[in-house]
Amino acid sequence: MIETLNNAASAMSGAADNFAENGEKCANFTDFANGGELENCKDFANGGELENCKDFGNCGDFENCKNLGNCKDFEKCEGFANLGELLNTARLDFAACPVNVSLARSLVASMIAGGIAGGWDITVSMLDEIKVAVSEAVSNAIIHGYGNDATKTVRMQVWQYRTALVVQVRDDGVGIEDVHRAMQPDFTTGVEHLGLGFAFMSSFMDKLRVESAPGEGTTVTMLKTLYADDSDCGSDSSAGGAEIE
Amino acid sequence: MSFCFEIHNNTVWAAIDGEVDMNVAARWREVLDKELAASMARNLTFDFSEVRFIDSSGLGVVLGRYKRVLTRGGKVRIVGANPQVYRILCLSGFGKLMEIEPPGEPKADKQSGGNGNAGEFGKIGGKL
Repeated sequence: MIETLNNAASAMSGAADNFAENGEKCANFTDFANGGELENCKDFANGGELENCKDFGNCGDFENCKNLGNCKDFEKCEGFANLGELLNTARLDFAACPVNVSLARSLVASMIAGGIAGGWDITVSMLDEIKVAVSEAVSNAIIHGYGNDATKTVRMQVWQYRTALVVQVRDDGVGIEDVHRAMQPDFTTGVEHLGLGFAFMSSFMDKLRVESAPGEGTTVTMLKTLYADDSDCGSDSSAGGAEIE
Repeated sequence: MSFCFEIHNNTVWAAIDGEVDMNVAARWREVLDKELAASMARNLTFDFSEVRFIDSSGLGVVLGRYKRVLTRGGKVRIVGANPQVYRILCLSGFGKLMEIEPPGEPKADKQSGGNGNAGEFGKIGGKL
C-alpha cells in the first residue's frame, strides 16, 4: 500500500520535474512509465502534443474509456468533447483512508497550478469549489464505496486539457443501486451526512458523470471548463457551475 | 489541526484550524460533544478564522451541533470565515439556520459574545 503511494508520489514529482525542464523527452518519465502509460511519448514534454505518442492508445483507461461507460473514445463522450489538446495527466492510487482526501485535493490543485501557468483564468473561489468537488467524490468513495475500509484502493486520474480539467475518482466498492436517486440533494445515508456531496459536485463542476452498479464500484467523472485566454471560445465568466441556494 | 475552546457569557467559543474534511470531522465531533456536554453554556460560536477549507464532512459536524444546541434553547454562530469558506456555508443553506458573519466585517468580540471591535482574533483569513 505504502509502496503504491510512494510510486504514485514519485511519478508525480518526476513528471513535474520533467515538465519544469526545457522540453525533455518523455524517455525520462521512468516512474510514469511504470504505470504502463506514455512510455513512448516522444514529444509529450515538448508542448503537450500527444499526436506523436505511439503507445498512448494502449492506455486502457483512456482510449477504451473503460471507466467512462460505453464511450469508445474519451473525446467523443457526451459533454467531454472539444476540450483542446491534452497537456498533462496524472494518476494516483491511494489507500481509502481519510487522511488521503487532502492528498487527492493536492494533486488536483497542483494540476490546476500548471493550468494557470498555461493560461487558465481561475478565481480563488473556483479553485476552492473544485477542491470541494474532489473532496466529496473521494469522501464518497471512502465512506460509501468502501465503508471506511482503509485496505481498499481509491483510483484517481486527472487530465489537464487546453480548455478543461477532468477529474475521475473510482472505487471498486459496493456501488450504488439507484444513481439518479443518490444524486438528489435530499438523499442521505446518515444523520450527519448532509446529502450535499453530489449537489456540490454538480454545482461546482460543469459536467458530472456517475457510473455505478451494485457490487461493481462507482466511477465519478467531473469536468470543469477553464478557457485559456487565447482560446477562440474566449473567456466566459459564467463558466462556473450553476449555483444552488 | 488543533481545536480550541473557551467559554464566555453563556457561549462556548470553538475554534478549529486547517482543512476541515472527513479526516478531522470525527475527532472534531467527539471533542465538540464532550465540550458541550461539560459546559452549561447555552450558545455555540464557531471561530473559523483559521479554517482554510471545508467540505460536507465538516458541514455535517456543524449541522449536528446546531441541532444539539437548538434542543437546549441556544443559538449557533459562525465567525471569521474566509470568503471561500463563507461561500460554501451559504451555498449549503446554513445562513437560514444560523448567523454567519460575512467576511471582512469586524470580528465579533468573544468577551461580549456580540458584535464588537476587532480583537486578538481580528485577522480575516482571506488567504488561499
